[in-house]
Amino acid sequence: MTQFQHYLSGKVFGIKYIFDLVGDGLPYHIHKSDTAHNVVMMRGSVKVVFDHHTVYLREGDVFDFDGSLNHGIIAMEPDSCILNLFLNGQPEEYKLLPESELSGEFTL
Amino acid sequence: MGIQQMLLGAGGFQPTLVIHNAAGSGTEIIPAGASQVTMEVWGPTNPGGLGFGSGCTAQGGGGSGASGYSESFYVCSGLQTLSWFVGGAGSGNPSTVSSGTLSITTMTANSGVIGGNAVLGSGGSGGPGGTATGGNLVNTTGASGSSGDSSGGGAGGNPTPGVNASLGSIGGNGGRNGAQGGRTLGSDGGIAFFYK
Repeated sequence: MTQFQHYLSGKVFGIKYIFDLVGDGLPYHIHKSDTAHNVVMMRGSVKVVFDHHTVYLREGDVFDFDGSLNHGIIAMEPDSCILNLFLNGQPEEYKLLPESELSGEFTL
Repeated sequence: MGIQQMLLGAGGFQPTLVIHNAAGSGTEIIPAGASQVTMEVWGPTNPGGLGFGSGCTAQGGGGSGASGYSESFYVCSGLQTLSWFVGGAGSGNPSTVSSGTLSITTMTANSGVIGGNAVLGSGGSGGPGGTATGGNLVNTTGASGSSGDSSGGGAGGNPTPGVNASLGSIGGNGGRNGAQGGRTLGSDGGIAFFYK
């Protein structure tokens, strides 16, 4: 199970993810500039998997990368937590997201 | 044959284009003096599929297919009639032209299939284009919409161009994410009667 929650403080926008179990994570995806983000490793550890390489993150790491590259994120420890900060702030259209899209949980 | 007759045709009839490009129906009365009619029919288009999620889980909905296109030619006489129906955007109803006092094979242009909705981990699939039947010159299936993915919604299929008019519309674009930005809802079909 993965829990997610939108974070907005002033112009700083991000989405926090908590991965309950090892192997929980985020499916492979790419970003356009409006949703490009870094990864702040809040707790535990994850691996960020690209097509041709993998980056391992530990608590306290901040990882910047090219969001246009296909990538996925997989938890290496239970209860790992990341905060993805959007490089260009909150996408304008996210202000139209229904309440149900601002927090919740899912399982891949 | 005089110059005016060469310009206007042997019967002195000036070629006339009649267009119906909003949802509705009616009886088409062939203008007095017309002896030939070319009919082109485009179906309506449907909405794009729903996008899903936000951030790393955002997935785009699929684009809808373009409508079918049908074209026919008939010899006619002035004041004969035809029945027409233009399908509305997202209605699922095809556009049609059928017999009135002029007997024809019913022309039917169907809407493209609506784009698929995105789900966690997968964008919506593009909808196939609509089919067309009954045209005695052309019956063309519309272009398919493209699939959505994590980079955004799929584009609707491109319309089939016509000969005397181009009344087809692009299929609906899929939503980029759960906010449904970029999603379009499709357009009404269209019918063109070209008289000579």
